[in-house]
Amino acid sequence: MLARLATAALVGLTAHPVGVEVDIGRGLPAVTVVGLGGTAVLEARDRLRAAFGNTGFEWPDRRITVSLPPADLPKQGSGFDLPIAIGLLAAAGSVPPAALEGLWAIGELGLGGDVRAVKGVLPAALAARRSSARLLVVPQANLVEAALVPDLRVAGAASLGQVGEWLVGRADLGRPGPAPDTPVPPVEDLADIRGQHQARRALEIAAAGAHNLLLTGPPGAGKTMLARRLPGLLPPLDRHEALEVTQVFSAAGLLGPDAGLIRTRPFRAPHHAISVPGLVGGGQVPRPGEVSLANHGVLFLDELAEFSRAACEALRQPLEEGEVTVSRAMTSVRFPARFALIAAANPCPCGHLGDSRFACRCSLYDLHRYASRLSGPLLDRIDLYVQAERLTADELTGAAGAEPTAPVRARVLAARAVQRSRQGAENGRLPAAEMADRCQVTPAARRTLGVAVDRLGLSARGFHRALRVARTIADLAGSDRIEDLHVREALSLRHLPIVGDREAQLL
Amino acid sequence: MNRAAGRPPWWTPRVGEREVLLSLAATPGPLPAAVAARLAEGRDPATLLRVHSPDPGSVAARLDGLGLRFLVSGDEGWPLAATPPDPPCAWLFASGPVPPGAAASVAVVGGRRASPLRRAAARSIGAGLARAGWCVVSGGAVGVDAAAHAGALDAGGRTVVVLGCGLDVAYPRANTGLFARVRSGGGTLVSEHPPSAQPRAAHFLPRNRLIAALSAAVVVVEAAEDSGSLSTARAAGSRGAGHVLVLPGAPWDPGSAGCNQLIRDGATLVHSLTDILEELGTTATAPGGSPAGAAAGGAGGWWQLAPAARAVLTSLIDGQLLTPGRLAAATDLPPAALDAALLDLELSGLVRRTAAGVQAIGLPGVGGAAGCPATLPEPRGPPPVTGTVELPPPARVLECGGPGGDDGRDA
Repeated sequence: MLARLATAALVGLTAHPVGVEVDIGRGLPAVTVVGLGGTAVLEARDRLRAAFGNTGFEWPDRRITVSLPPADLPKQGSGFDLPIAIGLLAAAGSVPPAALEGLWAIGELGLGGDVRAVKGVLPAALAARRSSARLLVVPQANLVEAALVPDLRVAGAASLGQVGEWLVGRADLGRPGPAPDTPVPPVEDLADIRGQHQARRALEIAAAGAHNLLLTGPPGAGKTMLARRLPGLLPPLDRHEALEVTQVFSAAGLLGPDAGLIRTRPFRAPHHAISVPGLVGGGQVPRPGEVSLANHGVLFLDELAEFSRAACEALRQPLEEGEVTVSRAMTSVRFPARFALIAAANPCPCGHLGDSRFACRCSLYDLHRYASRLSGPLLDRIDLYVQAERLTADELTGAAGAEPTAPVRARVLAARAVQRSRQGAENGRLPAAEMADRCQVTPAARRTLGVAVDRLGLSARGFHRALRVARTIADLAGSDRIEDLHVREALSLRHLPIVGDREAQLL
Repeated sequence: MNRAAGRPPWWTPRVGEREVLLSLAATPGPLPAAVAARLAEGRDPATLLRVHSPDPGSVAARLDGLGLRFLVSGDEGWPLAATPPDPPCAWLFASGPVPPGAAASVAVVGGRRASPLRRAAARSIGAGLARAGWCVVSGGAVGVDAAAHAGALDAGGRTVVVLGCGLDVAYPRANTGLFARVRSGGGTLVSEHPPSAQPRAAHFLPRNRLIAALSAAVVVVEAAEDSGSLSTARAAGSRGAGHVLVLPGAPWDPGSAGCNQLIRDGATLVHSLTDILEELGTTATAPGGSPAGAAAGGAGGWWQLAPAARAVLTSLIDGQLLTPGRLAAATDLPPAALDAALLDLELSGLVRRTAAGVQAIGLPGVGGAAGCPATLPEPRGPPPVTGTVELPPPARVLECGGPGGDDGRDA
């Protein structure tokens, strides 16, 4: 006898509908799974057999064939256990076929018959809604996640026994309650930061114009602390963004049990030893990397100079296109990756260049080598540069009294609104071609820029960066045109050379 | 080496002389035993070289190939005739015109690690001296030396580089561009050492005595306690007071401890280009050109700066590297005002910011934007005739034992 229901297979971030067909026919007792199932899918046979036994269901000792169409789509993971089990129960004749009409299921089975959480439930629920599923059965632990998708009936299963009872109408599955109010974790507030006026200002500008930021400074200057304050300055996630963030976390298996919608902007700080696939996504079954986990949030690269050159190169696509493509033999998957980049670096290999307390021990050669490590395509994408300084004793012990996050964020939101209405994108994402139109500068400002090109050795790229940042500073000030003082502030946030090579060549 | 012994123990004139002759002779053929024997007797090497050069044609060809002249003590126009150095110098290799000699030249010396400010001062002094008609002599090292040469070239004047290695070696390599500029700008590179001699630590102190001997006075722009510039100054000082002019430093600045010691020992303190030219006017005859035409340094430019910028620049006056935080503490300026002042100064070319911190690179009226261009100008052609620089009569140039010793006339 044949039973049919549906489930979903995760490819990248999107789940594709997959049929589950279970046939019990005549022949020697055997279980065959066809349809490009991976190891975890094939192992479902053994889990199912044990789960059936331990639940008290009779295992049909006949020839069982499980097919997972479309047959050419590779399938991975343990989420196929539950739908196959339901199909088996139906095919064995213990369930009315009507019960399987429009039914979707996803979940892993334990040997004791318990239904375990799986990753990718949110993408599966979205797929189910797209296919107008009547009901989606998910593990009880994933119920909150599945319930995030509106206009879709979902139910949570705790054990195979419960599912069996429900199929014959003797029990009910768990139903989603009202959306739980996941507490929004307290935002790390700018008021905690003492001193660092320029860095605070740079954070505000970075948030307002979606500019990437590089912080340098000696160890212990508070670079990480500053970076952690950025998500709090960004506007709240709208529902669409929140769903996308949650989807990525779901696909990566990083959503905790009973986790609802993620409503805070993610802050990801991968270690500098991270591999390229870890950073941008990869694996035989492509999984989202850190850049995608930081989607709509902040990616913080501490010790930028320690990241491998390959990793830095790999960041180029996400920084330019806001998404990343992972190509593998079988598939090519695109993950969203639109994040704010904050990088931190020691000013030199020993960390004390420009430190007022400790002398730098690096040779000129060391500095030159370090400078060349730090340059390159990644830095070209970073508009803002700021030096964090070690605090003085006065600043450490003095009253905090600094401006908290809330008013800064209000200014950021206002500036972003101006940018949206003017050009539909933040200044930091403005293509160079549009810059000329959007950046009207006063004659005085133009003069200053001209002198800067001369005296500060500003490159063409540096010029555009300064102009872009000046545009954001003007937006923060509510000014239509870019005034001289906006340009001047932008110039004081420009990249500073590690070694004054111009001077070295001069004499 | 043992400086207290008066002259370095390795030095005997004959060792050096034999080296030159050997080096010259080695290329074309073996050194005749007669030459070696006469050198051992202590005969005048110049005469020996003229009489006994083994294969005059090919030795001359070697020097010609390198574009070098061989100047020998006793020649007419020998630049050290009036001011023989101690220990004496018997010959010089030269690339370019014959150096004008002490009466027309001033040395500008200082350390290799001088602060940008002192380098700017050296450049400004080099330019001012050149405009006043002086030939600027220095050692071609990085730092103050290079700045002084560059200043003289900026002003279209003459300059003489005294090297401690063969002229084809051109050490330090960082200054290769500068040396090319000196050559194309009508300046001269000279050295006691034969072509392809490598720079050695032992070469540099004797080199300094030549710098002093080639100049009417030595201006010490910067000297730490153990600086080589002190040996140049002492060599000049041994000729009498008034030959050593020193830019003073702050009492607590280790980078100028040597300067202050020189002043204590009786050198003349100068604190502007005007001072220097005045001193030269009284203690040495300035050949042509008038000091009045030179740019005056001094404190005047300061009052054109905004108060905040002035405060920042004052804090950087010793040429040290300060972080913005330190500057804020030193000037008591609010962060926004400090940033604005820093950018103003950067745009005027008076300070430079790197990741290491902020450093002054010029002063209003002395260096930087006002005194000299922030970027190296393109090398100019031959120097325009500024003032009437009267060169001493050309030295007789020995074409290395060529019979009759043709005079080089292209000086």
